[in-house]
Amino acid sequence: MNSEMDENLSIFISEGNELLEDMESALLDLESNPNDSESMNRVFRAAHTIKGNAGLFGYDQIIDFTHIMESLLVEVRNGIVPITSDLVSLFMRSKDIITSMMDSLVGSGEVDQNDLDEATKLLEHYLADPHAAALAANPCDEDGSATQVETPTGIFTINLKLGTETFRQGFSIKAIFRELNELGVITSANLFMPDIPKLDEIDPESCHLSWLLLLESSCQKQAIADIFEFMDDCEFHILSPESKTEEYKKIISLLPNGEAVIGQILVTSGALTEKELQTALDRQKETGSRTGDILVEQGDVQPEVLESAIAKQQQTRAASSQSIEFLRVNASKLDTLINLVGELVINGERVSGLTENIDDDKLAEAVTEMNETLEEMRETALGLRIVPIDGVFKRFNRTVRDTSNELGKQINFEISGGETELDKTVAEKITDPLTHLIRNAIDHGIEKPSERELNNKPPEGHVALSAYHETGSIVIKVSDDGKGLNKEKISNKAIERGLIKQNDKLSDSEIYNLIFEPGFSTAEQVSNISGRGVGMDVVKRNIESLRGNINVESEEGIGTNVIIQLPLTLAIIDGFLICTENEDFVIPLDMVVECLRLTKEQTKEMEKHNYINLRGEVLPLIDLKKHFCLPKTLENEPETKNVIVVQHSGKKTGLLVDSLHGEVQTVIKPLGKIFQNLKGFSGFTILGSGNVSMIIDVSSLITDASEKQRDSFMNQPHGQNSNETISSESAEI
Amino acid sequence: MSSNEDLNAQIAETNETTLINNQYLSFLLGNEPFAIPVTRILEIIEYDQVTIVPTAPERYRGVVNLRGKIIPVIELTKVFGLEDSEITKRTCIIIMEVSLDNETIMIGCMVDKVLIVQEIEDDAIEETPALGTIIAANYVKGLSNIDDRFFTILDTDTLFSAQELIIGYDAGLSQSTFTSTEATH
Repeated sequence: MNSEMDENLSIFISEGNELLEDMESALLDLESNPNDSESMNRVFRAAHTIKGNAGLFGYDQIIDFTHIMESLLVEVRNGIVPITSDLVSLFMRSKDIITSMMDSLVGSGEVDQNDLDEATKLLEHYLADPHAAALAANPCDEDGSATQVETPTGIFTINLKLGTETFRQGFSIKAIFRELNELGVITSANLFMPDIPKLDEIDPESCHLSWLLLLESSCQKQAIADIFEFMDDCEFHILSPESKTEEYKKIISLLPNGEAVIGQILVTSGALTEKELQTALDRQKETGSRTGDILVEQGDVQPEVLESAIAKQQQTRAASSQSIEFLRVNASKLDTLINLVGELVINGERVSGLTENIDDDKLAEAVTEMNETLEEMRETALGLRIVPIDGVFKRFNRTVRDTSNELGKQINFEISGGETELDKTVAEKITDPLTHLIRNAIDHGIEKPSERELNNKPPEGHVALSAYHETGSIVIKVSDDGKGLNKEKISNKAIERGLIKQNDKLSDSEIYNLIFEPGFSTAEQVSNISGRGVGMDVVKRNIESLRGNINVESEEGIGTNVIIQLPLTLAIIDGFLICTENEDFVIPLDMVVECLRLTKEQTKEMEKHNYINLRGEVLPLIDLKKHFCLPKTLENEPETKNVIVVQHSGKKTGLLVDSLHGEVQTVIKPLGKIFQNLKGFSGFTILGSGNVSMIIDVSSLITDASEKQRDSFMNQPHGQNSNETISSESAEI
Repeated sequence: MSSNEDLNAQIAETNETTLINNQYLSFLLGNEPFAIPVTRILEIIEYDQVTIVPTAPERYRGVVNLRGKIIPVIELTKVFGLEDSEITKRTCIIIMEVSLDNETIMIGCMVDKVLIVQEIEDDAIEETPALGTIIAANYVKGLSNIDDRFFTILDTDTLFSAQELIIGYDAGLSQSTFTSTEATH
């Protein structure tokens, strides 16, 4: 029971967080485009669903708060409260409060009571007096705001047939007309007395009056209906003005998908009153015709309004049939499944290997078929975790908004490539580093508006976040058109911090990459956004822990690009199996460029230097058995040597090994707690034989090897030019 | 001398039936007898196919695949600075569960020969002498005289501490990371 509760709670929280995220992005859209009905709809839907879910579990605090928020949202949606930047901020704040309420449910945070009280008060203030609140929020716009809240006037056609008991019930016709006059101007009143009885049957206390009234008013239909509400036996039909048709149609299109009954859609939109609907439903039972037709016939709604309600109904039905196709699954179950599929793929390879030498066509056929299915299964299983990066990207709208407001900078934030897909784990882990990079771009990159204008740039800074796929990996780019990196400043700082020496000659990209060194910060003034010197190094480490890499391009005065390259998935990779000193290693296939067999001359050349001549190019070599200090297992060195050429950051390096064993599919097992800080490897994998093999992390292997080489040169200085070339060559990698 | 299967059954039974017990597994490193409490032991497996983890400290023999799980294997002789012994048919790996920074992980300890599971009462364990232990005193919980041989009872808390096991543990602490560097498990 308890665990069931926990599971429900976690579902509530995870769904709630998704909704809140969506609400936030919708609010931001709304701020830039107040007329965007779809965004308004999304905000409303999120608040509404959260309230509903909270209701299921009885989280009163959330229910109460979202209720007030929802009420205000209804007013906003109906155009009674105008959308202002302050209002959006208030909703944002409310969203944050709900987030903290949900966090507090799982004990990871507390709700700030003052904040809650204040926000509630503000929401209620808007609700109680939308006009004044709008004025208060927009004091410089006094003339305009009055017309903003008014809806256009139009002529209502009211068909009113009073019941015979009207007078006896104590209603006065005068009072009815007075109330109607309060709502607007009665432009025409035609009296009908269709069922007046014969003179001798007349009861002076009975009422037999009917009117066809034209009322010019800007009020809502319900307000008119309210006048007749208590007159039980009176029959009335109010046809809204033509001018309202558009409004109703708009409201109907804005309604959340959820109501599938036409009558109810019309009532919610305000085009139909409850009573009219009831009458129509009663008549439907008698006649059997369609509700919609009756309503039009009775003169309750315009045919166009009915049409848009029908369209809405169909949309709702389509949406509800669509939602059945989605299933919420515990992520850990999914991980287990993916792991199992991985194991199965490995086992499948093992079976193929074992059956290779058995001369049985049927067996071979069955094995082939099984492997095909397994491959398909692997693809599908991997796809389960793949999500578009859009969800991550959208969160940064808020980051940009808040940061730029805080710093008084105007930012035009552009997102592209949101549809690019990647593993959910990678997507989650990339959020924090990206937040840091974006804040950095706004804080350090983009200049103050005044400074920008001096440099002939538009006052509004441009920050772009983009993603695209590139050969087995995803590339994410954060660019800004700010002042760019100052090479001199970075060098000076790095010398000051002892990261480089005064007379070190570094390439531009080496200088730029110094900003990823721990303890490096060039911000002259420490702000609370960035500039404490922790950050870029952490960003780099986080990216590397995802088997990715990060690079900076910059041009002073023009801007900066930070480019992150990440693997699509953390679970399974195609690898290339190599062997040296009887130890197997796997190299990610997308790093491998080619394989070489060394000729005798090349072996000699290799023994002299640590490189070979590859078609006129220098190819630096890393001897894996030396680099890894592997114990000798072979009596004699093998006659021929093999080199596997890998490419990383555009540079080629050769890895010297004993033998090459071709492609394998591998399920990556993490290094685990004990080996997590080990350099040069990204994980383990279990081979078809059941043996464990290590997966080489090419980038960190190369970095490690070039450091080692540099150290060895420092310790025993060499005079040879050729070696110097190599050391700087590999240092750049 | 019992077989691994018998010992495994015995360990499983003691760990299932009693919460606190004084059962110890004794084993040899070279010719030296040692004992560790059975509470943390999951099973004993034969030494087979250990994959080398290059660049890891010497005390790590490598890793093994135990039914799809990757288990780091520690060479106790290297930890204690004892003489290396050859791999024989008797060489075993004792699989244990240890808790590091609130995370339970499995590790294996390579020993030359496992002996038996036996009860050693607390008062039969003599305090560690200041001098004369065969290995560094901080790894020793006490000595016990069994059949005229002194068994070194290991202090599993120090032996399997995060400091001792995690590579680059101190360096790791000073790193402030956004997210846990642990990948999916």
